[in-house]
Amino acid sequence: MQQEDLRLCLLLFREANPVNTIHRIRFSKPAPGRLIGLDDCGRRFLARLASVTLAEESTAPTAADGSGRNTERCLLDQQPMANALRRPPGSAISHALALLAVSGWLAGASQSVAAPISTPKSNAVEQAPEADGKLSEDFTKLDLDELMAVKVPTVYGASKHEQKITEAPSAVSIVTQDDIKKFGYRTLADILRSARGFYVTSDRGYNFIGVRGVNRPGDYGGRVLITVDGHRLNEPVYDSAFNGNEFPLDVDMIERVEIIRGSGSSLYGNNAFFAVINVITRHGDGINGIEASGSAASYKTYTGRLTYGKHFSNGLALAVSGSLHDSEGHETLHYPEFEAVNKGMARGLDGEWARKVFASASWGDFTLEGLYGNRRKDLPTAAYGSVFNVSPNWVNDERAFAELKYRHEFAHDWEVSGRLYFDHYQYDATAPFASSGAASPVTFNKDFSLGHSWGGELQVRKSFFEDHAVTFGGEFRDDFTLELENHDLKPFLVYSDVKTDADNFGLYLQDEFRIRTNLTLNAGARYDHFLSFGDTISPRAGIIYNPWNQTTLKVLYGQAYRAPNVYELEYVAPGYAANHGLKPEQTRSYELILEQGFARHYRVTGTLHYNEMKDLITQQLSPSGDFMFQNTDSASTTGGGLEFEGTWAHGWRGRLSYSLIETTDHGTGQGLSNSPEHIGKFNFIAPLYKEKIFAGLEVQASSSRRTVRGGEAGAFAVCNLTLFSHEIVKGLDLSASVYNLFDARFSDPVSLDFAQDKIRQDGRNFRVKLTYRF
Amino acid sequence: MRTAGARSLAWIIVILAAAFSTFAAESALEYKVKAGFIYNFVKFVEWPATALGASNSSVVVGVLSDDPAAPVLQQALSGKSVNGRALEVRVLKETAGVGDCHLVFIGRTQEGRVKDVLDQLKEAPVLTVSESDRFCQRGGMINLVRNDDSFRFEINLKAAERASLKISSRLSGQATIVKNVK
Repeated sequence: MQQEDLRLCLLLFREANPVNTIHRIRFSKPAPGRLIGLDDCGRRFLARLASVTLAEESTAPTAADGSGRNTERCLLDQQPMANALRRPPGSAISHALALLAVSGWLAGASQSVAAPISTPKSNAVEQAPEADGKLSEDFTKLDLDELMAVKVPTVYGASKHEQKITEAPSAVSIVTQDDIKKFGYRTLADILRSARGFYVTSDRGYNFIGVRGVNRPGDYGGRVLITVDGHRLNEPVYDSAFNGNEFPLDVDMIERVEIIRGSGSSLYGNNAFFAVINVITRHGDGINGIEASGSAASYKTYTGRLTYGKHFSNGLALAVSGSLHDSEGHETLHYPEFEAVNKGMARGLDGEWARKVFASASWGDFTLEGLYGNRRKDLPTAAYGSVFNVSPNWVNDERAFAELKYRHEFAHDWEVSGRLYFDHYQYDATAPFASSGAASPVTFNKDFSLGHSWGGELQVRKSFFEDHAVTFGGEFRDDFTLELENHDLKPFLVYSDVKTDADNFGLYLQDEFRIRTNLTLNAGARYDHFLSFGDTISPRAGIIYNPWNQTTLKVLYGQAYRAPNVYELEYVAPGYAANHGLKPEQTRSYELILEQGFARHYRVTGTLHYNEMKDLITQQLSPSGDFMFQNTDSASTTGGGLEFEGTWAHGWRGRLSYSLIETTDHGTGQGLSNSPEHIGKFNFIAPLYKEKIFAGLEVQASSSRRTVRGGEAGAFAVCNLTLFSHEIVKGLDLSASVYNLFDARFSDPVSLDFAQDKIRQDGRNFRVKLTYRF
Repeated sequence: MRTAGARSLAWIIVILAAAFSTFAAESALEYKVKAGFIYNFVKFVEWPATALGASNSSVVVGVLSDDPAAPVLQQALSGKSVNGRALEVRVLKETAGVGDCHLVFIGRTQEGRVKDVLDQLKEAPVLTVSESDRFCQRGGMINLVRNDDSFRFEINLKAAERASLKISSRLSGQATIVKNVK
């Protein structure tokens, strides 16, 4: 790409994208809460209804006093925009474009050396090896060791069939079991934190995934779809995308994680808004025996796992695994917002306990798989207006599914696959609230929800005329039990009791049309029908072009949606009204991806994206004075990323990425809260001794983020270091990790359900882990 | 903002597409890598003297014509030579010609023809290489398998032995040796 082209490009873009000068000012959103029945406003409303007088000054003060919060909201409504000098919306794009232009330059440069291959009639064996760049595509010069180090990654989730990453209509990252071991990843959240452009925040109860600068505090994460072996894991009540210890699969049982960026609704329907994360489990043949693993870590954290796997000679492959996790957590956590109570110290309220079971059996074309996870977490933060430093205050999530899968390749390129499943989700929580009763200053409240579903999917794939590969599928799901319930224990008082059901079905079609050997059109659409709101159509189209060796250019457009969940649609309690008229949130996504390989060892990826989002579901105070979810907000996100990857022989490898993101809330003209403008990632693995001992180093950096109350969570960089030894004694793997090596102090923004504006994250902490294979 | 954004993206696309106007061969990276493996297999397998013929005759690598791997292997291997013998890639219309090759590659798209090929070859001195599920268990000799993002290979030593092929320890030492096989 010439410099003139670049300049012209920028000029055209600026011209087409004039700076928006008029911005209304509005506070982004009040956040919904799981224990929303207990929100101060709701309680006051209830108090009125039940003619109970709520003590104006409760004995245990909660900083998030209801009236205070509402005043604050009003104030914010009128507050002049603090940062009036906002950067023009085009600036992020032009920066990112410059990044892409750089990779374009590099691509151009490499083309001159990586000329089309001619195979000279020469004796390759005797010929002296040439410089890497020249005949980089001639793999006959490599010996077996080197060949086995060449990476040709594939991805399943991008098109619902196995394909090379360069052919997928998405920017894909893969994290393997090997990465999990060598970087000492403990949860899916740890894995996602290492991915370009991703960030995961925690409120010490749950983790929330941010992609493309969107991670609004108070939303449950329903804009990312997480699947396990293609099975939808977002639960049916709140749409949560579990990724901490509440994720039901032990990370040690992960074969690989496919991080598929961009709109995926054309294949997956609901929730595939910004990304699809497909987790592929380890199966019997990979385990081949018994594996026992245990770890001890900071905050009195202990884990244990026992796994058995085998591929029998009759073809049956079996895997069974069970894990336990027990952590006392921080002995005390300090929250200055509650200085009046116990000097702001929450004592013994950070424990976490989890158990997980996974089993799979495959035989011939059939696979039967089951997954169960149960996690309980104490909440030290006194969220949702609960009483500070009073135990018990915990949330408990239980997620399980059982699924039967079938896959067969018939003659003449017919491939048929199907699945039939049952799904279970249960959530319950106990929290202390200030009570007006004379008997006790505290009453405990129970929050409960339940979702049971069954469903199925059938997919057919067929190649036509050598240049078309068509995928056609249908999916249905029946959420036959959906319950939301909330009550106080003493005196027994029911605030909410919703029992309902839901169902939906979808049909999708995708064609991969190989127009020329180096040019593929990938187009598809999915139609979905929901009982609650009706129809939606999500098209996607992408052009994948290999102008020359090792270069792939992808131009993608896609529409995606997130359906209103049952909580948003149906939740009724005093002070809370249902809204059956909710529509899905929608996004249009434009993407440009350039992938460039260099000299066998290196790979550069440059991406640009622009997303518009409309009808974002936000909790609002309706004219009648009730809280209600409404399709009010719209926003956009623009950005780009650049990633360098290197893989060398003997296990050296590294990855460096930078993402620049700018979000705009169209209501306020401001950026979204909890949205960093700059994200940097660095991952490196060095073999220290004979491919037996490895050091895995990672750095994750983020610029500052605005909090929901207009404050700031400062910029930070976290560094993690893991030493991993593989088979140092036969069958034994040992690892030792230091997380947050330099003890960086940083906090994550949280929702308005918290008195805190942001929550401090863990400082330096340690883990040692031992795995033995029998 | 919406239309402006779309328009500007359209412009970027047009300009970039114009910039990348060179055409070159498809980067069928996977089969180029596998060609490298096949080259090494030929290097480290010893055929009986009668099978190879005169010292200047070539080593014939057969690949089925319907296989998308065929053009890539042909381009990557033709003209190369191993131990003084030229490599010849022969694209086979029918499985009938497999017996005239020294090495046969059966791609995963041709998985349905594995049995057919193996039945025809029986104990003929032809090295069978594939990338299909349980190839060695079904009587094939070398199977390329995926391990995360890279490739490994399995060897069925018994099958090679029956076909009077000698597999060098340089090769078997790097492979997963498949036991409990036909």
